[in-house]
Amino acid sequence: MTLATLSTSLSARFRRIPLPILAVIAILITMVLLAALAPWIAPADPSRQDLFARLKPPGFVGRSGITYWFGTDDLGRDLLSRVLYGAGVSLGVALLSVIVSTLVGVSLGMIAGWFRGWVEVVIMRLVDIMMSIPAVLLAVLTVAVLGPGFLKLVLVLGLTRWPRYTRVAYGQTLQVANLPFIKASELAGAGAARILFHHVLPNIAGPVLVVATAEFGLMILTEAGLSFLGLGIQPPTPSWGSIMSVGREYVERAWWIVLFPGLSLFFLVFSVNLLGDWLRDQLDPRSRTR
Amino acid sequence: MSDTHQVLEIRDVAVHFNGRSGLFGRSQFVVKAVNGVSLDIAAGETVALVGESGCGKSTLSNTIVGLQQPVEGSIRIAGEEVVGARGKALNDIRRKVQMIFQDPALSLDPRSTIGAAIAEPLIVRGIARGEALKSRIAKLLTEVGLRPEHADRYPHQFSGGQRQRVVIARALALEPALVVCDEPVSALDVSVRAQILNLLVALQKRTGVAYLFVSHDLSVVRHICDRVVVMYLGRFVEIADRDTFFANPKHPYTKALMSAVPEADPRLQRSRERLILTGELPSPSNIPPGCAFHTRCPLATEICSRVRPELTSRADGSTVACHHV
Repeated sequence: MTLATLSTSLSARFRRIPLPILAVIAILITMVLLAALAPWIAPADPSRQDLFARLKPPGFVGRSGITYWFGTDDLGRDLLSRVLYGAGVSLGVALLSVIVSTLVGVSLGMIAGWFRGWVEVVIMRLVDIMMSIPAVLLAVLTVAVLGPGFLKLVLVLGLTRWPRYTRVAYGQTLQVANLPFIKASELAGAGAARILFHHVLPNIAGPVLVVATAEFGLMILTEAGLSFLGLGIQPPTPSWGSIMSVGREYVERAWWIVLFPGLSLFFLVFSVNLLGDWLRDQLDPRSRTR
Repeated sequence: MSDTHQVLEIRDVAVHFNGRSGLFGRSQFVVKAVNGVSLDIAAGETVALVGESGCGKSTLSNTIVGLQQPVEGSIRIAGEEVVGARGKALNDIRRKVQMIFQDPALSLDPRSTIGAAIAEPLIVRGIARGEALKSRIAKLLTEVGLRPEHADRYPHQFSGGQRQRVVIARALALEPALVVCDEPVSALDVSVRAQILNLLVALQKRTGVAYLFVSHDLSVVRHICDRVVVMYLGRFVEIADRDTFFANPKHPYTKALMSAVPEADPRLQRSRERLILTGELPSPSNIPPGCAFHTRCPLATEICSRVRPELTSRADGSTVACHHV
């Protein structure tokens, strides 16, 4: 297939994007842009404290004349700026750790499902072991050994969350591997790598994508939990999780601290899940051209 | 014995599976799916393999194309031994045998265009690329009665019959000497069966390919085959030329199969003597001693449960494994 025919088939594929999906894509693009531009558009330094302006409600006008649109937190920091800066951290951690765990999990699952035998036993027993250890405990242990940090957090999340992808990829591979079109490829002379990438992967991508979008939201929440325990992003760097975990203590007096990062999180996870669902349908040729 | 006109020579091939049952797989058993069969197929010949479900037809065809390994015996394809061959040698032999599967809906990758499906064997074997590949695909599509511009479409955009044409095109892409057809029309509408069968016949006339035609539909077998092999519980029980086979079936199991074929004329149908087998096909993990068929055979006597009858030649050229015919 030449590049030209590929691009026409792609544009045909995405030509009629339903309105809700367009809205969702717009939300995601806006969030990514806001996160990326945080240093330029944030009204204040996210870690500048003003103890005279602690726990002020949204719309409060400070002494220096700046308006705190989202209110302030327990140390008098501008919540809007903290949410903007935190977006980058939360998005980055979630996206990267989902990519890491998908790559690791899906490869292992396909290998286990395709080669069977002792490879399957080793990988799937490892999955059982990983799933029986509480993920947070494992993350705590790993961070305790490696120390905290953005990339380490990504690695910890990525390397503890792969078993779910492995289970799904393994089961799907087992199903697909017995279909006649896989046998036909074997008879055509295709090797394991070609069969796995050309025939198995595209046919198991749908369920994997669904797991990945569900995990994306979970990653943000796990990051929040780890940050809350002091094992994730270190203060004063804000992340949605750490803002919310602090805000939890003040929720009766200052509901806005939890509300704004929570709403952002809700829209992000909701959008990703909707988009993932739609993408899965789009990637299935059977649901097109009808 | 390596007559170059034989595209397939199998000798005493047996395929067994190890099964386990019970807690922790403590009780083991062996499923003897194919149990010492020998068969030659000449170039351009069509041989039918018939028998009921579970008799080992599919296992035998998978073994011939190399998806399954025999525990003993020899399989030669165009004079070259497959059993024990490895690496490139095996790959070179393999391309001479291809397979057409029963359900065309499952034998094409729903995520690949049909052009990509037909191209795969040519790409993997490094036979053609670029423009040459394109024209090769176009030619194959035309040969099976489709249009070259269909190459960019996906399998779900075709009907069952058209998909089976695509499967045939892919099987023929490597110009094989033998194509194993595993019930190629049984999943299709009756109205398109004849078209597909005629296509197979026409392609055989042009390319000289041999077919091993696995089926349980005797009317299809009668239409297309030169020779018929009847299989029961992993062994051949009767081998005969088509005309001999249909005019004078000998083995009691064959007779039972034939009497199960409905007759179009109701008066004839009513007057016919129906031979109805009692009981189920015994499990291939527990094959009866002696003649495997004796548990269901109307002619069975004492010797049948003790001594297994060998395939022996008869005056009309057929070979039958039975003590009583």
